[in-house]
Amino acid sequence: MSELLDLPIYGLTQREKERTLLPALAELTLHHRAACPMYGRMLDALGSGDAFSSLEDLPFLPVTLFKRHRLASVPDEEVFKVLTSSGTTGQAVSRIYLDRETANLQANALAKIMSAMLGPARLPMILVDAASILRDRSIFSARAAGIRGMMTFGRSHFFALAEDMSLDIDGLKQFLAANAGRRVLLFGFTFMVWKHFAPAVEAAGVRLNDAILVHSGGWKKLTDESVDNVTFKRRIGEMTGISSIRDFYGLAEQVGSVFVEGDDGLLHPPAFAEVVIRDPVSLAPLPAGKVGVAQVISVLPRSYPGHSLLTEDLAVVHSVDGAGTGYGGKAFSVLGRVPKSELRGCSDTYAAGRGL
Amino acid sequence: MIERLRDAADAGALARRVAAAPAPSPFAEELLAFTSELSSVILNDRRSRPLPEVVALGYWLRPASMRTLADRFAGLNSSHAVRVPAGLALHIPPANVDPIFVYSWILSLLCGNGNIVRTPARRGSVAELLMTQISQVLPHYPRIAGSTAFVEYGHEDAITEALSSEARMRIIWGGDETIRHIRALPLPPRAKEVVFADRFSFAVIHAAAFLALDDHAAMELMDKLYLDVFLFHQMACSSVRLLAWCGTSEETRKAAGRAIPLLRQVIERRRFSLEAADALAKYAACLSLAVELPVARVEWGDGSLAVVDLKDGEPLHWPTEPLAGGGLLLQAHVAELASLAPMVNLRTQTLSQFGFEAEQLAEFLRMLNGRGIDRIVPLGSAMNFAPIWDGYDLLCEFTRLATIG
Repeated sequence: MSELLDLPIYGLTQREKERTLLPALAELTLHHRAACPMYGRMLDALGSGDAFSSLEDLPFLPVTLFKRHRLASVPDEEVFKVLTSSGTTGQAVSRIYLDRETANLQANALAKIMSAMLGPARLPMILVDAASILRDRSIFSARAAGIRGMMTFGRSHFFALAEDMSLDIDGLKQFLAANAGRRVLLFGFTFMVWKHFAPAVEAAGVRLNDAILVHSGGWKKLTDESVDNVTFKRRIGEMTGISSIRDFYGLAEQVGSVFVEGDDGLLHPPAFAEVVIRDPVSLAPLPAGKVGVAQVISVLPRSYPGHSLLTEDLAVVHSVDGAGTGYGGKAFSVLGRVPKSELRGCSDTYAAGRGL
Repeated sequence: MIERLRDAADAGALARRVAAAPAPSPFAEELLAFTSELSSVILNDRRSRPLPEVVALGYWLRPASMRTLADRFAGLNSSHAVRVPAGLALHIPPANVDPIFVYSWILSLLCGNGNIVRTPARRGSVAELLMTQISQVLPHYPRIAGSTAFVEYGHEDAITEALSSEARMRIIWGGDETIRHIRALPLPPRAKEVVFADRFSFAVIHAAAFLALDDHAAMELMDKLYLDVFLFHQMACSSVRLLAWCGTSEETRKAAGRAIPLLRQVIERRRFSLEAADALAKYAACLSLAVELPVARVEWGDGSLAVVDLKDGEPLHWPTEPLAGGGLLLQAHVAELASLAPMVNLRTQTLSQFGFEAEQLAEFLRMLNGRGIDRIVPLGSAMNFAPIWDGYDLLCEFTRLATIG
């Protein structure tokens, strides 16, 4: 497994990727099938064999199943921590069971991806969130885990927001003065950067000229405001002075396996991960240029059967082995969530209107 | 036509107005003229044609069918007891089956009641079409129009309470959560509540009888199965969720092997389409079922119909989680009707069947001894509304008996 982490991270052609990843993923599928009885029953029902001719051939689980079932491939005593997705109150949350091996793989993988993007030196780091998010250690929410995971890649951390999401202007000015002349790393959730950070920075008249912003967390709220990635980058640049802005896409159910925005503005699977776009109804794989739901594949998940997941995100592959881009494999973008269902059972007469 | 209620004061005023308006007496000629005209408008509207549930309503409203209903109503009266209207009815229809609000309203109207009908919160195109058709006819019948109000409002309890304050009858078309919620809102002491809770339905086909059909008849039967499964996106209480094949193991496998490809042809011909979110929910549901039930195989096909085939000889039971709709069909193979008994419970509503004798079905009901199943219908009729629903005779529910002597 660790050999896969040492491959050139964006250097493999699609064909090389298939060749190197397929045996590892076939082995992972067999491992989970044997180690997680529920997963085994699902694969039996799907009529899935044990040999796969391509990555597209691998069976895939909908992410939502991690909310409904306890899907683990290790005994309880080996569970090192349980990662929960940050569901809104009342909604079921995903539970991801990690052992030390998988947690280490995730950390190493993320380090490979981040050092490819940020370089080897750790930069002074601004976290676009409140420090209090880390205080509650009883649950590992995806947001806290994301912050914690990213903090490793910077130093001299400064949390830019107060608990009420207002900008700590004085703190920010002090941080910038202390790090004058140095490149600064910022990390935050896309919506927090857009809503709570950039406008306040602009209002305070502060400029972050030599900074790189890495953000994640999804486009749902911004899409609702008709803000796309190009607009986001332009407006954030105008408001804060930040010129280097990178989105990344990843699931709480596949921590460490993230798809980072390249110089071309598109997302790229690292050497140990892959994306497949599927027709949302037939679930058949779609060629480049066709919008469908994203299936994400990763060699990291060993303690839970999350190595091949069907997301609820719409995405499109723009090119494969794009010539002259410097990236091998697929280049894609995520367009947002699949629109919510209008289907209602008898049980929902009341609930239907109440939630909206 | 639809009155938008802003607050409780609005609602109270409307309720008092409708309560004070005189309604035609049960099965008055005026009512039969109205249903007849509404039937013509629905059946002559080309927009109705691709919508089987709208056409079915149009047929139900035809004079012949209404006369039968009137005759049955007459039979509910005697020299010692007269059926009189229960009084003002408040109808809370379901969100999933659009035409229910019309059936509920018409039956109460025929029973001589005034009516406040809450229109479905998120009206689908079917409900919108029905409202258009009703509004073409209703103005010709001032007494019916005066004693009827179609209303819309959010989920403001204060409005429901104000509407309830004048009601003699509150009719809630499910589901369980809605019933629990609305039941907690006060009703006048003399008022009653008629409720329709969450239900599930299934179908059974006699495998040998199906195998004996010629290709044309087999295809026709699958068209009927299509209606029972796919109408209302398989989200109605009467929607078939499980199809059981009854016969020897060899017969049931052979019958299923013949039927499912035909059903897929029907789906394609009828242009059933599924939203992405519903397909994804269905896929997740299929895999969840594989954990919960003895599933032999999930056949996803092109996604429009997912067949979750259950293993032979394993005990049957309903899954604990509500089933996703949109074309998820559990398929079971059983030796006899009695083998279906373990999956029948108080939530089981309709059994659609093909190939069984009336006596076999009666025997099955006797064996269940009231544990479930309110209606057994020929395959293809599960969605047909009937004035006896969930075990209630609505002609009785919507009236009172005044006795003589």
